[in-house]
Amino acid sequence: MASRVFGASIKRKEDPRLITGEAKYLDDLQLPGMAHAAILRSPHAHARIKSIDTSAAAAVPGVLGVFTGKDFMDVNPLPCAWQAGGVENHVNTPRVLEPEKVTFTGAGVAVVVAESRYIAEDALQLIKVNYEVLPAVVDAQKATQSGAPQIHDNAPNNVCMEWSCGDKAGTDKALGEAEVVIKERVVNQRLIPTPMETRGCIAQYLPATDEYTVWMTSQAPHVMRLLMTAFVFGIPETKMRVISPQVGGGFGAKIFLYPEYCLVTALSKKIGRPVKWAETRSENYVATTHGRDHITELEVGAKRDGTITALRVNTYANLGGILSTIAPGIPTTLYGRLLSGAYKIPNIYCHVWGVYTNTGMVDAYRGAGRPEATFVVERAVDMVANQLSMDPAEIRRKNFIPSSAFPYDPKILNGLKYDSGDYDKALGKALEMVGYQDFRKAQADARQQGRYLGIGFSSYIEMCGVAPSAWIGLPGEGWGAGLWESANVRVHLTGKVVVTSGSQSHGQGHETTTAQIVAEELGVPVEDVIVQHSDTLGTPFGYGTYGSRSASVGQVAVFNSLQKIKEKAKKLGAHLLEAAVEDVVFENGKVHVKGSPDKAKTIQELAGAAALGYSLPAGMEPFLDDTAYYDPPNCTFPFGTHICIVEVDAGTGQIDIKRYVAVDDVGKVINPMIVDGQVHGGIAQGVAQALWEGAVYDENGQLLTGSLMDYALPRADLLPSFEVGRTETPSPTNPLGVKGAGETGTIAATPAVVNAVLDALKPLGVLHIDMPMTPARVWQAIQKG
Amino acid sequence: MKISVKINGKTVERDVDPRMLLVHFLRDELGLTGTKVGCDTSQCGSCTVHLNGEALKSCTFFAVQADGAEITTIEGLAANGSLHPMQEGFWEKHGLQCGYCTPGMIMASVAFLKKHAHPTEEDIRHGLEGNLCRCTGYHNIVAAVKAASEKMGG
Amino acid sequence: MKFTGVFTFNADQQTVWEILMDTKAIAQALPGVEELIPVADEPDTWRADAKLGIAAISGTYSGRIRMSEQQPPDKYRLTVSGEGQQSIINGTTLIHLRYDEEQKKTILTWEAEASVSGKLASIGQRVISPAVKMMSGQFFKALDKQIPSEKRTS
Repeated sequence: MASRVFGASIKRKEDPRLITGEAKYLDDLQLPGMAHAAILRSPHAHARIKSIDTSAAAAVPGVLGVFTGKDFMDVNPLPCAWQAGGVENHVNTPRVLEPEKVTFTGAGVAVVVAESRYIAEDALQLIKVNYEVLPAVVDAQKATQSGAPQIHDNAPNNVCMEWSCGDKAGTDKALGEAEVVIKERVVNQRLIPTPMETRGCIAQYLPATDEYTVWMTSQAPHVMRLLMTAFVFGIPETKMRVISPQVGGGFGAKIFLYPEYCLVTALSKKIGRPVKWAETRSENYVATTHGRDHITELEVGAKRDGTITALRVNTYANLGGILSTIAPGIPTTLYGRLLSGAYKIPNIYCHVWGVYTNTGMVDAYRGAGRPEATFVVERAVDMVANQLSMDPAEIRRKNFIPSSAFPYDPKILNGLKYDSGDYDKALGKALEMVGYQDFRKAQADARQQGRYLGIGFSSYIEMCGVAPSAWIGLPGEGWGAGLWESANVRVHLTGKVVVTSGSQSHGQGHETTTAQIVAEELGVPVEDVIVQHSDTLGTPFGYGTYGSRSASVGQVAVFNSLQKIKEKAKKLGAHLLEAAVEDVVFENGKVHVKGSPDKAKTIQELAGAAALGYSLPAGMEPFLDDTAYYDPPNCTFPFGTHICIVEVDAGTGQIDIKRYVAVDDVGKVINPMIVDGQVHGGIAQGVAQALWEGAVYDENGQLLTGSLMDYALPRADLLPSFEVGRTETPSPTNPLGVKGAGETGTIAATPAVVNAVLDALKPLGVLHIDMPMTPARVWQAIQKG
Repeated sequence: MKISVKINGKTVERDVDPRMLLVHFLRDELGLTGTKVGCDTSQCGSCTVHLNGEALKSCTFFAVQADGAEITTIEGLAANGSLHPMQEGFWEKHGLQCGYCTPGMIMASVAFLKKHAHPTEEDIRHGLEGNLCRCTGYHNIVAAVKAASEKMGG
Repeated sequence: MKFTGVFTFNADQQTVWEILMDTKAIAQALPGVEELIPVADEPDTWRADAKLGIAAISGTYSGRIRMSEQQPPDKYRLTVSGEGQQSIINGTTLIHLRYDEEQKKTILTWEAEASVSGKLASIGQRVISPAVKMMSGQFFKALDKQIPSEKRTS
């Protein structure tokens, strides 16, 4: 085609409803007769519930019912769907309301259902709970030590799982023989995902058919239905329809099955009316999952010439008081297996303790394990460079996996291989964009004037498009299901195309990029493509949107459906053109005889003919309609180099980001504008972890950063504009050549900023500062340095 | 209490609970759900509307305080079926992803441009510091506001 | 959390001690409290309901107050526990009195330790310190006002 749609920065199809306020998010929905639920949450991090008196709350006019955990003993605990690392004997998951014991501040213990949200909140204050308060522990490493409070009977020393990968003996030996060994303790602090829309749920029970319709803020509505029906309620999945309305961001936190969704569903039957629960932001901070929270002891070994020979990592991963849906998979498969980064590291050993503490649940947050791995690797590489007085760009080049080595087996990926890459090219482009040599001169001049400029690198890889079912499923990586996606494409009689997909979009723009793939393949205008998703009624099963998998798995399913449609269209076209199938081609939205493009049948004509059905080849079914299920043969491995330039005020510890350059290679790009947007947002979250964000619990397990007053979400005035570039190395894993772009920014940015700050402070002898690098911490490090 | 408010050009009279927040009045009583609630401590700006032409976080204001005022919400911004230049700017520059902060962000940006017709990038970043976005890193929001300012003759 | 404070009464030490032991006076001085009700079988222990506004979390808190370690007229301890608004507050205060002969004033110093849980901890933490300072100031000032003028030293 003259102008390709695939690869064009077209404006998003979903935007008109979003910029006019017309889109309906969960809390915008009102059903006739709807009641409102409010949840009473534990003020203690660790306590036994001795008794609950709900009588005063129940007596408030307008209250329809007050319930506690004891009222839901017929509802099963929530499932843990990713049982990695021998977790199975130590599983503790939430119940809809905790009946006996709470293990973190914010756990639900009672619920009020009332005519209005105001009444429900008022009545909530009248519930009296008698707790026996138990001692709490919040630090994952301390929780494993003797004498620590014990949270669950089935998890001695609070250890939920112990997992390892790599070659222990080989790594020990290589470290013993290394010419340089550097040890460091790095903390990847706990973050709170904070999508701007909080969570919520509306459930309606239909007694005549014994069916539920559940609206929820979910990144994976099909999986929610599966988990709720099969595991929590023990009913056929045909008895439930789950709908994700417009979802206002997720960043991982809306993947999971939460107790509130099951609670509201159960309440809709008990009350006999539709029930809504809309999370407040202060609830969101205690009751929605957090991310990261690793304490890591790392040891890196190298030769004097900068060749890295070994990496040993021991990580304490804080899982919170109780397990969220896929919590065990994050610090294992998605972390330990990525510790080779972009480098040939011949010896790697990673050991992970998954630990219960009296804190909120920890699960996937944008990047999910991969930012933690990248932080370890990119810090380790910089530490070696610093020790050997090598240039940080040079040491990266020296250790990169060369482009000739793909597919590359890092030996810790349990059989998977990095699919494609040209790491040097991305680094080279980033160096060029930033003007590296000029910067080093400017840095030297600034130091003469007592100003501290620094440059930081992060040459990351990540793993997207999770995942081949045979690799990730039981007994491989412990994921209790497959991870394929599906899509149906229908070309209606009018030539308009409807795509239904099991993927879910909560800001990524799938309606646009999917339409671009359809337009490219079928030659129809983008406006003629409608993409439907996020409702289990009318869409084929899908595992949902997370792990940057919707392009490289979900949209490949769309592409494969389109190939089937095109095949059928070709057959029909040949029949109508009175030609042999092997003599016709499908090109630019038309089927024509090879060499005679003038005599053609358009896709619209073919769709019409297929739908009318009175002139079909013998044996052909009417309608252009096909479904594909796509299970990827491998994950995809995006990469790139991010470079950050900072200036640190040595007098105050204040950090100013002067420039931020990102070169990402996400394979083929469907819509550059959307990919750039994903990168920008990711960078902001990664920078924020380095400089501002951090969830803080006091020693009693009280969350001190429980609102946007105290949790330092970045504001517009704190960030610069980003300079974004790209290289394009197609993925050989899938026919679209795409890799995934949703998480690169978050994965790459954090170590780039930290490395920049430490580069700036090198003349002052500062080697390490914990995140977030607040002015106070930076100032203290300078004083000590 | 009885209040009378002119909302998006139409006068509305209602009896409201004195403790009802303006944002709940707009959303729950009038069904104007374009205005969002993103926090409970007045940090996020998702609930920004115009009160007598000035940007206001409608979660910090009681409905009864709005008696006699003129309010514009995101639903009232497009005139006669054509988008406001700010809405066009957000669409063209990809100034939104999940869209949840967008109504508040657009309302705040429109009010900002009234006072700063020729803003620099820095002006825009400071002008929007009361509105949080978690998706865009603000990069394309800044570009959107800049584009709108140029379109509006700034 | 630890807090300390100083308050100066314009009265002699015995007068100050008496007012500090007067539960009616205390009830009147405690912010938001109407009455202190003695708890049966527990000496020097009272319960009370208080209407308080602490940052975003205002409402009714119910609590208990116990006096102990009394060494008239120099020293005693107040132990307070309260709950409400999905929060729990526990605190203990050691109160010392000293008479400054020169200035004819009684100087009260207090040292408190407190812990808060729940919503108040996660939302209100940052304002607890100033809130305690403000409320303790109000409390002692209100007690001071109840000292009859004839007993004042200036």
